Amino acid sequence: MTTRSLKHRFSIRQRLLILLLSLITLLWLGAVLASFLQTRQELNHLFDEELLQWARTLLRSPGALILPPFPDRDNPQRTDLQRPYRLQSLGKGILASSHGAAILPPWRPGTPLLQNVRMNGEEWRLATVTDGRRVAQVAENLDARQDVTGEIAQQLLAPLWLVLPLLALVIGFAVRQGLAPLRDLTARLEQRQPQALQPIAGPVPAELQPLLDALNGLFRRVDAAFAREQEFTAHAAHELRTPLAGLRIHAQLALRHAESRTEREALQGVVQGVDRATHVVEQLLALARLDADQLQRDEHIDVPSLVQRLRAAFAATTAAKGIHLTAQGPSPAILDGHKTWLEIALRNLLDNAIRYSPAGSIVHITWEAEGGLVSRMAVCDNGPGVPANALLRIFQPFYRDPNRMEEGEGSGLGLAIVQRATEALGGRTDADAAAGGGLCVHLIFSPNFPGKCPEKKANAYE
Amino acid sequence: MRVLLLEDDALLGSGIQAALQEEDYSVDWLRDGAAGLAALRQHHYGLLVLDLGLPRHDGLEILQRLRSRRDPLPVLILTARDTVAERVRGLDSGADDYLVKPFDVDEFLARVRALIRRGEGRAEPLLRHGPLTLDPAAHQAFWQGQAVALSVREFAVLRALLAHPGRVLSKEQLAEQIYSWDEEIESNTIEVYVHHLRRKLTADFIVTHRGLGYSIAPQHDDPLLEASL
Repeated sequence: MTTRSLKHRFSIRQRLLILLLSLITLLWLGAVLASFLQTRQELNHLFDEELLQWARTLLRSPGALILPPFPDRDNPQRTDLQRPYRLQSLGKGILASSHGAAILPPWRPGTPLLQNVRMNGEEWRLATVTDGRRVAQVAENLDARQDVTGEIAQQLLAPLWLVLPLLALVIGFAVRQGLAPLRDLTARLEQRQPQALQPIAGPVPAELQPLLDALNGLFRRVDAAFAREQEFTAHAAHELRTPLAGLRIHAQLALRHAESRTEREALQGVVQGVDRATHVVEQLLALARLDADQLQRDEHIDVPSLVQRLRAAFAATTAAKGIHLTAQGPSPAILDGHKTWLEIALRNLLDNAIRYSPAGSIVHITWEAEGGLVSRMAVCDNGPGVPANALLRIFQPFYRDPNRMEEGEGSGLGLAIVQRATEALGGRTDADAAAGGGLCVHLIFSPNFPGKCPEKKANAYE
Repeated sequence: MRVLLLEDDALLGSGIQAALQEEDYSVDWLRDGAAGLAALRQHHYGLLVLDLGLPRHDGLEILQRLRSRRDPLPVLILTARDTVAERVRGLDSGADDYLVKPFDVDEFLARVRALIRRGEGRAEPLLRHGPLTLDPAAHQAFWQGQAVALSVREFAVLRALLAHPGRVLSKEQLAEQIYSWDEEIESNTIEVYVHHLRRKLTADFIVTHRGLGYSIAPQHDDPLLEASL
């Protein structure tokens, strides 16, 4: 595992928590160790002094002594923990000795005042004093000393187990407070519309300022690029309208004076071509405007009444082709968003459906609601449909289905507009084959809706 | 009827000019705003067809200047921008109507007729005066219900005089109404047309005001005329 992957595995908060807690614990342990060592040294000194004291007392005494044993919590009966001693005269031999004194090494001239000796496989501290005539020696088991120092170490460490969780809480709180500006900034970024490009307003702490500046700079550049692109599209589309108008008026004037059928048909072809090009221009403009107006206005769109209005608007077209336009769905059904976008999406869908449907067929508009909010809409036709392998591509700009080419007067932009408009409303598009073999386009506004064309029902909502 | 066309695009301008000329309007076609403003000061027009995207002075500026001097000239705007905001801006700046490019030529001509009609203070598409009825859309004249064959220029003179019955128009004013700049005007042409008209209608239908010009004789059954007297 590299440092880099470690760096990115934990959040800043986790990193701070782990680092602070482990460093503080280490420091604490170091301090405990230092004070333990010092205490132990002082304790040893005290014990040594005491041992020497006993040795001197022994030296001055006429005979045997009763020395108190070392404390031993685990086994108070341990006799070997008694301080064995021996008092000997340099000339007369041993004057007095305690129980267990047999293990004491024989005295030799030059034996230091205090020394560690190994007796019976255990470490002992041996004090030796002499006044030139007699030698007193007292030993004590170092195990017992270690028991005492171990207890002291435990007492020193005990607060740590109590303080450590408390410390973790306090550090956690401090880190949380310290990271608040970062959290604020994140929250502000999260609250924005995904398409929003306006700069984020300060103030932020100095450490975040470069990040914020970089972000705002990026927003500005992207915004400017978007604006340029939209402006270009809008401008190009407008520039096309004037020559189209010129073409159309000349063709119409010529048509007034056309004498032969061939001439008339040719000129009518020109007028139709101009109208088709105009349609493309209008769709391009609609697309550019969809991109430009990304501010989502929170309207409550009354979907049934909008559909009703669209049915009325398309009445003449459907009547001319003998197409029956049905609408079916619950009421009330509300969709939150920009009404124009929904209308644009539905108009394009209906336009397509009517264009590709055979005369006398049915076009369905359906919608479903969850708790009064529209979760899905669909426009289905009985036209030639789209092959399954092309269903994903139909939403691409300028994609034209080869099967539909011969009938097509479309711009190739209609479904791309539907998709963008639906996305602007916070939804997504999907397409599949309708029950009767035509095309079904779904606008899905609820994230968990499967999105399938419902069965046709006889009692359509009129 | 004389129409000023301000359109910078050659293809569209020539098309509109041809369409208007076919309907016997005399058309002055200018391609920039400054020349348009000059022409509006010098001549009397029945209609202005105005493209909003003109070089030098843009269409809206011309419109605002025209309205700021209280010129009631009917204005038809041609615009390449079709948003509601654009159309509202055009109409609020003083335009009477607008068409979004590209447009249908028949619709364009119908709107031109309607605007001219409104400009003359009429709602009715036919011009009536006593026994005479003029149909500007069909270019037909009827005398006591009978069709009268009139030449294009004769029709235009009669049309100009009927626009404001009772008002005296000089020969120069009449000539300006029926000829555009690029047409040659002979000195006695107006007299010739008036002479023909008197022969085809009745001699006293057009009154001569010596040294001033011509007017249509008052008709006592004409409510419009009574009101204007």
